[in-house]
Amino acid sequence: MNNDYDVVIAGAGAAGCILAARLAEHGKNPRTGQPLRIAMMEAGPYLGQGENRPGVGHPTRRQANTFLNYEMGSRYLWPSGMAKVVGGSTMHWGTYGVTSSVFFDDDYSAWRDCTGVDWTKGDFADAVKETQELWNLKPAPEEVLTRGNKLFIDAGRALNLPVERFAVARKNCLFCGRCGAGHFCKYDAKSSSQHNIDRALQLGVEIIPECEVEKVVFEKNGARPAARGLQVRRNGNVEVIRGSKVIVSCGIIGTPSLLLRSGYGASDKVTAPRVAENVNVGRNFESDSLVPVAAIWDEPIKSGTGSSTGASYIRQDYGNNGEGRLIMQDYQMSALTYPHEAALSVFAPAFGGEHEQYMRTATQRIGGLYPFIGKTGVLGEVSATGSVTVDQNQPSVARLLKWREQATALCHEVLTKMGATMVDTPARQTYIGMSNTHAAGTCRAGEDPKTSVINSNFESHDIDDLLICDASAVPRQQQYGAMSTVTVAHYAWRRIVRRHFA
Amino acid sequence: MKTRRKVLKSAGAFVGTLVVGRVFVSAAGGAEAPTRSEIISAIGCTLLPANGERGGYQLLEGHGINEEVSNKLRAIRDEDLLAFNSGAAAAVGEKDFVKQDEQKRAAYLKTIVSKNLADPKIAAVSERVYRAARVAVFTTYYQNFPEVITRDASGQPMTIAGDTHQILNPNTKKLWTGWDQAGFSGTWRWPEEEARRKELRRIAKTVAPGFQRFEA
Repeated sequence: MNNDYDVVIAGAGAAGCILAARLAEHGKNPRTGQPLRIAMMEAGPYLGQGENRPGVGHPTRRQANTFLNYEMGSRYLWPSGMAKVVGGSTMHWGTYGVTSSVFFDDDYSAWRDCTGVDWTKGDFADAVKETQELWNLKPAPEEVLTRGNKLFIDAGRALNLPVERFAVARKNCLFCGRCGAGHFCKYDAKSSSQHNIDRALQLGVEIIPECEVEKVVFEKNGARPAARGLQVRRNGNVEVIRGSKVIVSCGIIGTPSLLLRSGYGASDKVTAPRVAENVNVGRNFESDSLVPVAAIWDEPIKSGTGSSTGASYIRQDYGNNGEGRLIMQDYQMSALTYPHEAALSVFAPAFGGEHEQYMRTATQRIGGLYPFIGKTGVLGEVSATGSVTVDQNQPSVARLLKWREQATALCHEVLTKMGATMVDTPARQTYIGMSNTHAAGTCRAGEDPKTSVINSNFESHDIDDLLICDASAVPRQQQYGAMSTVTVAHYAWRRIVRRHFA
Repeated sequence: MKTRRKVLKSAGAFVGTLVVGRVFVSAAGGAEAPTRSEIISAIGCTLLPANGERGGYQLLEGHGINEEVSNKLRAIRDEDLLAFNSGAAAAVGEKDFVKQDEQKRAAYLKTIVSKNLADPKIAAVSERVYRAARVAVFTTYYQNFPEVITRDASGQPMTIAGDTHQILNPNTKKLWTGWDQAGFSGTWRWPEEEARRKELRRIAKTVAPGFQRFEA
């Protein structure tokens, strides 16, 4: 392995893999004109050996996902729950994109209002198109919708609610119904970073799995510090991989915690000698909020196989300018309910013959709705150790709790219209927990270093040759995570090539 | 299994120490209290009663389900299990839980579920034991115990000989398991996958724009 690259990338997740492939394809060394020498480091393994067959999948990934032990495998996860594998969370995500255009119009304005970042819908047009084509972002075919999916559409329309078809990112999907967030797809049908990994390898990128980045290496460069490489641990040995440009793509939690451990951030949060001060590193963690509402029908509402994606959604805005955006999704009307989940459901009889009778059809009769509320305005902080804390006393918490009550009430109304025999009422929430998987903002882009970490070109305000691109760069959260991150990365590589590698 | 430890006194019951599998008591009549394994087995058989060929919990005891469930319940204290067991005498008459017949055991569990036990301390303990046992029993049974994936030394599921893409499916149908009860087939076998691929290719030919690509 060479030890001196044009670009070193920390993290082979969704954004890292896109940048590696695209910079290798479109960038060149500005001094020599030669293709870029790029290395990308990932702490997790690479599950890529063997023949990949469309609609059949890849041997290693087929074996990793059995559907039978109900979990992806903790060996492939960070403690935060994020994926620890080459390809990142896109190897096991739910593939939900909501709208085929990735973002709603008010997402762009929300970013600009938040930090002054200069990203516009027009600027993003090529990036959105790249996402649509490469990730195959489209609604599932009508033929695979379950009875439950159709009940949702009919009920929404009968209640004069705006029902739209949901876009998902899949190829060669068999709609087996045995997936969802957190599972590898046995058939590799989930659009993922794999095509970028393959392309990057074709173009000579060195992908180094099972190589944990411990720190970003900084050196003085006149009055300002500069990023010069990554200190990594591999096979028990510590070494420094040097690069003229360092891109950090470790994710919403991984990126700020790495930077804080490297000395970049607020004085009271860094755990290494401070290199540069920026109070926004690790702050402004914003995620969506979900309290599912379950229901049961007398008759089956799922087939033995299903779309497993959800087919449609209803949108409501509880705040102004897209704040408190409810996306009520019918995922549970087609996703798999495992037998043990049905056995312990709130709808299950206590035990005995009644329970046995219930279990004969329960997995096909239990459904529900997922009311995601995005752009909540509830902010948390990430520490150097990767923990996330949320101040429950911030005013937006009380506001979000009210929105949740409204969303739950609307779910009840829709599920009742869908003919549910029983609808569960979630316990009244008094506390906000934050999902790690749909968050944004912890190293957000903007024009002012007082309110952002990087500029609109993904360059650190404070440290030369350091770039950041992943969910942490996105100023405001919308719904879900991967399509947003992917599209921002598709946008980022264009600006990065223009600025540094043309 | 735990070593010697003292069992809590309970009103009108017994004192003794729980040693490996046995309790030795000095209560009236000198009756021995049951072991953890016996109490958990009795709970399991009540939660999942036998029904003809569908042998329920009892059928799978020969395959080790009680050990599996007992392992999941190792955080439950001995004294709590014994209190649960002896609480049945006051609730449904004379005998403790293990010695009751199936109907009386079920009646005792229903009394717990409906929160109708007279002694509040016994009620709290019994409900705790019941709920933990229910989760352990149903989780174990409905995750298809005892059938497991055959794995190699590194923990990866093993494939069918000569086929890199298909793993060994454990659902052998030699036993009536939780999956059979739930009508759940587990992962598709190869013929099912091929049939589905054929169906999706057919849909791909007839459906216009908006559909995921399906490559041959």
